[in-house]
Amino acid sequence: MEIKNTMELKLPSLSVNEGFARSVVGAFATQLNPTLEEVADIKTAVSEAVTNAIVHAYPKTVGEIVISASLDGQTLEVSIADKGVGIHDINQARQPFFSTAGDESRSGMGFTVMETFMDKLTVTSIPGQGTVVKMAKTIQALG
Amino acid sequence: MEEYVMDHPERKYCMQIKVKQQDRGIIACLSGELDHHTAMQTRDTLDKLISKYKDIDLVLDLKNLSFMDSSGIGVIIGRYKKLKNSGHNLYVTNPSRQIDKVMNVSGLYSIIKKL
Repeated sequence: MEIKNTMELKLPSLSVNEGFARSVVGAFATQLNPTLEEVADIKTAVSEAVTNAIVHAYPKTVGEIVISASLDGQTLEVSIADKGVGIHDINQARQPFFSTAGDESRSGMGFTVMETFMDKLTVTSIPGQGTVVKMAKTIQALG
Repeated sequence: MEEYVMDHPERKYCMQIKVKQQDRGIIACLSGELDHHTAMQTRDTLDKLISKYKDIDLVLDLKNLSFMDSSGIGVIIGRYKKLKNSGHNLYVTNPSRQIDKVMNVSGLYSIIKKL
């Protein structure tokens, strides 16, 4: 029986962890022998999801973010979960340029970038309980 | 050439901005990673430059910027609006393939010219 490779990373929602989180998932994905562009796509999408958790899930507190990833054949699956405030209207949140962040540090393009850079994106959220963002990307085998 | 090193307590990874003055404007060379963590400092440093060198166009040279996500788009659009209000322009140059893709997805090139 083939054992799937998996990883899990738990972090407090501090912005300094954004770079660390995307680098870890990018490094985990290198087992699939991706191109530099594919690694950059994964790092960018993870950065968006982790930043959303830091900015929106825990706007006034520091909470836990759990990043887990697994490899299934040539496909990377990654999940970013928080126990924060949740999203009331997921469809609205996924619209380009929609943002509830008051400052201009977020452009409202987070979900659009995740959708474009990954093959699959699902968002589940319960207001008051938290959000789980799941993404998948299949790495094309070379040659 | 002036050099701004943005300082923040963690100093885990920081952004550096070097400034070159030219005839029509200034070039700000960004190096490091521009994400939500470094966005505020980048915004503040660029705003200081815009107020210091009045009546100028600003070129953001991204050659040494190794990563940018949509937090960077917010910073760039904000500076673009600021300059536009005073009759000036903002340009970007030398983006990596990853940054170019983020810019394209965000539709940034419909308002900001790449040199």
